[in-house]
Amino acid sequence: MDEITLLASCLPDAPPPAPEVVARARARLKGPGPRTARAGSRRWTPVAGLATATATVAVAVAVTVVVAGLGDAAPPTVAVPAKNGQILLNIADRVEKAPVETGAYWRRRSVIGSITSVDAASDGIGIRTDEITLWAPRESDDPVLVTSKMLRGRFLALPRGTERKPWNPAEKYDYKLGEALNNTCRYSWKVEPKGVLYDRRAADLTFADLEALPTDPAALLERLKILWADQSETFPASGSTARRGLPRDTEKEKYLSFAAVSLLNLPSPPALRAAALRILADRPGTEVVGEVVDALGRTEVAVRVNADEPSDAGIPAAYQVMVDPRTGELAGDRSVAVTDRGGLPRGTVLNYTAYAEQGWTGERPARPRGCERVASIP
Amino acid sequence: MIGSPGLSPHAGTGEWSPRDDFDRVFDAHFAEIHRYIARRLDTHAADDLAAETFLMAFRDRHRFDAARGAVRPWLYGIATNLLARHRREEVRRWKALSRTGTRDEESHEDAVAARVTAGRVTGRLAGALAGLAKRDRDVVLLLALGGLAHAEVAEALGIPYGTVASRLNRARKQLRKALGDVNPLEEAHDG
Repeated sequence: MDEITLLASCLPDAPPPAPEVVARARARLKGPGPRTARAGSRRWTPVAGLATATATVAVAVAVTVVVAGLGDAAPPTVAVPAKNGQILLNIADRVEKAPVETGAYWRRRSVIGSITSVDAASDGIGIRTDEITLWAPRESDDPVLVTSKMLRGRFLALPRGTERKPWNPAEKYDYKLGEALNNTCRYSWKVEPKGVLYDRRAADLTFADLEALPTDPAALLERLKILWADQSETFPASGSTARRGLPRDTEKEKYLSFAAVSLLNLPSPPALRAAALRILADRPGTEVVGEVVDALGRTEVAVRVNADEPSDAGIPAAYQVMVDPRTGELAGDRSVAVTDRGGLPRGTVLNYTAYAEQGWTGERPARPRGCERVASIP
Repeated sequence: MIGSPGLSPHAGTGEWSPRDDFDRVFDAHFAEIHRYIARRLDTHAADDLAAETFLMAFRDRHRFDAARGAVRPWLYGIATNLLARHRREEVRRWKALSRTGTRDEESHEDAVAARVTAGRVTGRLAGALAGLAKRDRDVVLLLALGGLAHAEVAEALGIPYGTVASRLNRARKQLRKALGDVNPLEEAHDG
């Protein structure tokens, strides 16, 4: 194998263009069309009647990309708080004036990869990829639909009796790769009481709550601290926290970090998103890892949140959220191994969620055929 | 229809000539040009730049000269010229990939399998690509990602064949150096 063949096989591949991308490109050949219109493949089809002056422009992404302004990020092992925070602040500056969008449903399609059972007792590594589609209604009496499909499942089996050693590039492992699980499809369909949204790390929030939260970072932080005080009174020292004996201040900082992440994960208006980014940039546990290529081949800004989080499923891991530098929205998250273990080298992505598409839509969900209905999908 | 239907492929190359029927050229090559750009930048950029490539090709279709080369190198040449405007983004992508070292492609399983068997080759290669001069990187990636032959790379970039060879030689040395002691050229894929 020479270097050229190696490049061809090792560099990340790309999925074929979406049919709408092909159609749009073909349409450009037929008419003058806007030459610089950016294709919005990570957004769903734009919603008719958006309350923006640009609604007549037939593109799905409303925010112009100025990626060149981000600069090269610091290596993951070097934390430079001022510079790190500045990247998030730059994104916040760009997104806060973006147009407010809305629709009947907020729809998100996620691709989720996960690894199970990587420890001395297991016979190998189970890896699976799932797709989850969420429909969150604008109106609280409309149903929430969550559909989960397993796309792929494989098992990397180690030979029995082999003593586990740290992964060594010079060593050859006799993994056996094969399909492990049958595809499954499940869905939940229910009206959420009071219209509470899917990410509750900040609080039980509705769309109306998101629109009412302050967009000034200091005022928002104060509001989050009040929410924290309410929660800690209602639920004093939650289980794992109490067991680990974390000081209350540490617990509070953790809450504030994840509350900011939660607001980025929800369909918050651009100004609220900007405020959440500014709060996250200022949290002591926040470390910007830098630009990374995510599981879908996109360049995102990885941010390690509350960096003292110790592990994922028993493996020392860093939890990172992926921020879309174009919109400031969360583009997913992931856990990365911080030590070599069980044949997985440091830096391996252990689990990830990548939001393949998200945005407002005027469409309404339909129950999927051939899928098992369950009470809820985590 | 954009072009005239019912015409035959260009004699000698078996390809549809852009002069005759651009629809067929689009159908035959859009996906591969999109993929080439997406692998050098990302899919979102590729959505735009692939469309831009074909728009430019369409506007210049009457200047296409089959005697000077085939359609594929012509399209790859246009795409590569457009990529030049995104040199910084491309270098950032390779640097990012070199830091994560992950072969995050079509599936997590493949990525993990690649990591535990083939090691960090991707990261090293990506780091080396970031360090190549753009003219050398273009040659290497037209060969590796576009699958062009040496002569077609010369056509695409409008440079002599010998220049392709010298740029390739220089780039290969840097890639080999970056791969260092892992020696993945001899490492078999396990499992």
